[in-house]
This record gives sequence, C-alpha cells and structure tokens, in this order.
Amino acid sequence: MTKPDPPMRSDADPDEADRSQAAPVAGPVALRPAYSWRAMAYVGIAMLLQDKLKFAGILVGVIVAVVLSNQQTATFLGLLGKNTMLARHAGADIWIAPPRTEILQAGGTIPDSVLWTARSTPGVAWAAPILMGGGNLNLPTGGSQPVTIIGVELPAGRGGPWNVVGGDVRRLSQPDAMVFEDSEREHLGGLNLGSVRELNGHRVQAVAFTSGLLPFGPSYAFTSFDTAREIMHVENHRVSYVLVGVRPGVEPEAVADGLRQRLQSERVMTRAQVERSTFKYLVTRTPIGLTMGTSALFGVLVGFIVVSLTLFSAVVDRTREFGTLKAIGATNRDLARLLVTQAVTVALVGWLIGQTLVIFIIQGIRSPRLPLGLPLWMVPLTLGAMVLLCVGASTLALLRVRKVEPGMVFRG
Amino acid sequence: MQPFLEVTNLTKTYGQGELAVDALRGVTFHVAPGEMLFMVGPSGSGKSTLLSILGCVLSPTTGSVRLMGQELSTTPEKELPILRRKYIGFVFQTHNLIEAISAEANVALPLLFRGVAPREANAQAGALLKSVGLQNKRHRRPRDLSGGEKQRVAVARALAGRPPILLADEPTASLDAENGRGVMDTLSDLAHRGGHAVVVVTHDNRIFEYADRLLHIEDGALVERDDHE
Repeated sequence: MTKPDPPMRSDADPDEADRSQAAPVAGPVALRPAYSWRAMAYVGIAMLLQDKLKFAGILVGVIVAVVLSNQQTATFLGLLGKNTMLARHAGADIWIAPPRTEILQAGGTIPDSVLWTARSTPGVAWAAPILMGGGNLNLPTGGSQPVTIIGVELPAGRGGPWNVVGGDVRRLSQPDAMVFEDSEREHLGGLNLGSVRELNGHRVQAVAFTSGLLPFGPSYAFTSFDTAREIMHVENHRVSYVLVGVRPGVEPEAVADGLRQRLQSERVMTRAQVERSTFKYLVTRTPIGLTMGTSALFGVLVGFIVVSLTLFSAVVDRTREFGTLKAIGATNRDLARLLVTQAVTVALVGWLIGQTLVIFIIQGIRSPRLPLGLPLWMVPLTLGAMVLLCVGASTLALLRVRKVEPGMVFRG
Repeated sequence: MQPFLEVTNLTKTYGQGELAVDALRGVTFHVAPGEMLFMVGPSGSGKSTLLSILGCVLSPTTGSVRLMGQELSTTPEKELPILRRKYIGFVFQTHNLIEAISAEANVALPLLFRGVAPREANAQAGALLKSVGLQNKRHRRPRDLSGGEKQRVAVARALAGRPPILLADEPTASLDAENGRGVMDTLSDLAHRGGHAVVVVTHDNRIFEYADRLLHIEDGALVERDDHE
C-alpha cells in the first residue's frame, strides 16, 4: 500500500545550511504553565478594537446602563434627602412622633406632656417641641403659595433653621418673624429681608433666608414656637414632634427603648429609624420607588441585552478564528478568559465614559429644587455592577464558544 | 525508531442506523520521525476526517491512534487541547490567522499556550518569521499580507514550539505555484532536516514529488496504487 522510499526531492539550496540550523528538532516537550491569560487578554482586546462599530455599540449599551441607573438612583437619593433633611439637620438623636408616623410631615399632634416625660427619662440630655403644619402665604400680586411652617422653641432653636444665607436668625425671637427659603423668594412674591406678608391670615416678616431647604412638599418656613401655634391655630398643650438629644456616651437606641416603655401611645424613633422609615415609605407607599427603580432596572436591562447580543454576535462573526484558537491548543477556559477580558474591558471603558457623563448631567441639572445625590459609594458600586453585568452578559457568547468545533478549520 | 503516529484499524462513522455514513473504514498506517507522508484522494474520501482525528479535534468511532506513544481513544477529551499544544502544528488550507493581531503575535500564540514567556515568545516568533522570509513584515496584520505571505505566517505558527508532528491540510491550495513551492520546501526541510513527522493532505499533484510516501484514500479506506499515477 505504501512505499518507504527515500525523499523524492533532494535539497541543494545553498541557503539550506542556514535554514537547517534554525530548523527545530522534533521531540516531545515539557509544558510549563501557559501564559494563556495574557495571550487571551491581548487577543480579546485586539479583536474588540478591530471591530470598531461593534465596540462602539457595546459601549453605548454600557453607557446607557450607567447613565440611567445613576441618574435614577441620584434622583431617588435626592428625593430621599429632601424627605429626611429635617431629621438629619434638626440635631435630635430621637424623634417622638404621633402614632403610626412613617414620614416627617405636617399632620397629627401629640400632648406636650410627652416633653416632660422625655426630659425625665434616663439618658436624655434635652428635649424640645416643634410644631409642623401647612400654611398659605398671600402674594402681593394676588393668589397664594403654600409653605411648610416649622415652629421651634427659642432661643435653643432645636429643629432649625440651618443653612442660613441671609439676614439674622436671632431676630426669630421678634414677634411675627419668619425665615424663608432663598430659592423660593420669587415664588413667594419677591421676598426680601424685611418683606411683610400674610400667612394664614397672620402678619409675618422675613428676617432671614435659608438655602436648599426644600422638602418634597412646600418649602420650609421657620418661626418661633408661639408664632407657629398662632398661625396654625394649634390648640394649647399639643405639639407635632418632640426632639430628644441624648447625653454623651449614651446609645440613642437604649434611650429610645426607655422612652418607648414610658410612652405607649407615641412612636419613638432614632434618627436612623426615621431615615429608614422614610426610605420604606417612599419605596412602598408612593410610586416614586417603583417608577425610578423600573427606570434604573430598564437601563441595566438594556445594557445587559446590548452587551450580551453584541458579544455573541462578535463570536459568531469570528467562529472560524475561535475554531483556529482551539485547534492550536486553546481550551474552553482560555476562550472564556478571552471573553471575560472583553467583558471587563467594555465595562471599564463604558463605565468611565458613562460615569463622566453622569457627573456632567448631574452638575447640569442639580438645583435646590432637585438636589440630585450621587454619593461617592455609587462610583465603585456602579463599576462593580457594570463588570458583573458585562461578565454575565458574556455568558451567551461563552456558550457559543464552547460549541465551536476546532475541526471546522479543516473544512476549507 | 518509534513512530510519532500509529493508526490501527481506524473507523469513523457519522450518524446512526440507516443514516450512518462510514467516513473511515479500517485505516492502518504509521508516520515515522523525519517522514513526509502525503494523503491523497478525491473529495469526500475521508482525508479531512482522518486529519481531524490525527489532530485530536475529532474522536474515532473504533480503532487506535497512538500519538507520540499516547493512545488517543483513552485520553480524556479535556486533555486533547494539551496534546495539540504539545505535539501538533497545523497548516490549514486557508491560513486561518487571527485577523486582529500582527503576524508575530499570531506566531507567538502557540508559544504562549505552551508556557513560553511573552518576551521569549515574541523573540522566537520573530526568528520563525525570519526563517520563512517575513522578518520585515512581522508587525503587519494578516489583511496587509499577500496570500502567500499569510500561508508562510501560518507555517511559522505551525512550527512555533517545535511540535514533533505537522499536519498540513491542502497547504498550497490558496497559493500560486511559486509560493506553493516555497511552502513545500519549508515543510520538506522540517521533515528531512528537523526530524518532524509531516502529514500533508492534498489534491495538488504538482507537489507529489515532495512526498516520501503517498497514502491513497477512497471511500474511507486506504487503497493500493502506483505512487506515480
């Protein structure tokens, strides 16, 4: 069948001596640990960069995911911040509120005897009442604008105001004095220091302005406790909330437990509990959480689908090259490394561009009315999420790669 | 000397029952070190199937294939890529280079798989490209090379890591006569001076002169034939 003839062709090329010296000597070789991570990372990134359109498309997917999820989260955190700003700035460690209170807003009242109970509770350093309620400020041009009135006990001023940017807050002790929000001056009829307005039929005068004190509802307007009582027509011996400060070194939670034992009818919450309760209220009792969560999820989903399909399509386009890589010794694990490198690369580049865009967008639209919050922890969290998203999205491509037969390279 | 490749009673059947097709039927042969073996036959005769089995990319149905003394039928599938890395260099009908990376990077790839450090792999790849006359085009991408140059890069890649066995599938099919001879000269040199076992599947009777032995395959079986037909 076969004939073990000597070579049919004799080589008489003068360059042959050189070539034969360079020719490899055949024989089994020992394998050292492969540099496949580096090789596959290099090939993966080169493939990405070669197909610029696909690379651009995949980046758009990641950028959409980063921008939408960040923007929606920033908006939600901004709203959360609006609703918790009073709790965060009032200086109280514990809030005593009407029963079933979920969020700090104008509403029910509690008896002022709570104040004395609080002051006599072990661990309490101070306790102060505030009144909170709605009011309508008459405008010089006709019509009115709503404000949220907060009456605080002077001279301590527990509960505000803060961020005072104009005027003299000490003048709050004068009759009818009131502190308004600076960014609302135009809406409130061109308020200036000394401006006199009618609030719920009661004369008030602007003595100072705050900045950024815009809750989700009408802006805050601070006045003395007694003036607030008159304006809001709150009956004597009733208060909206009692603020409590604990002694240094005492755990607020321990004091809160003591207060709960003494106050069976009221709701006692530490500051952290107020913030958690507000978060829960926004997420479960309003459409805000659902709307924004859906938008953020939609962004992430779009990103996932775009990245997944683009990586998959890139593998399909390069099936023969993946087959070649397998034929010359790449394992499925090696090719997974290639895809993971691609996924991490698009996540990093997309995140970098997207996060930069987010910062510019937030700076562009942020205002006291819309105080978008982008805490620093969002940055690494988004990066981690994008890496997970892209690596997860490469699964489809990986499944395709696993099915590539190296034998296909023998079929011309 | 022990053959690098020993094939005994090899069969390969695709499909089952009435749809079963016998691609290979009782094939037996061996390839010794320093030997250049040609497998010739009409299209669909089973050449590519045989080459795929020899290249550890397809499993036989029955029979034995010993590659450097190791029995393939008892080797776990996940170890086959390792065998390919260690023992086999491929020259494909079409060059099958990775388009996104340079000629040098293409040649260096198998070296990196074999554990050669990147700097050393690049140096060896450069030397291999020099040996096929492409030292000045080492940094070019495949799209910037001619068909002959691409095939020479593919030969250099097959040689990377000095695999004892070279499998060439129609290595001259996409080349003109001059470039075809260049590639065959290189393969012949590797067998006769480098001691590699070279298996070439081809239709191209212009290069039969390079063969030490010709195996004729028809309908999946080896057939006796005058080598000079």
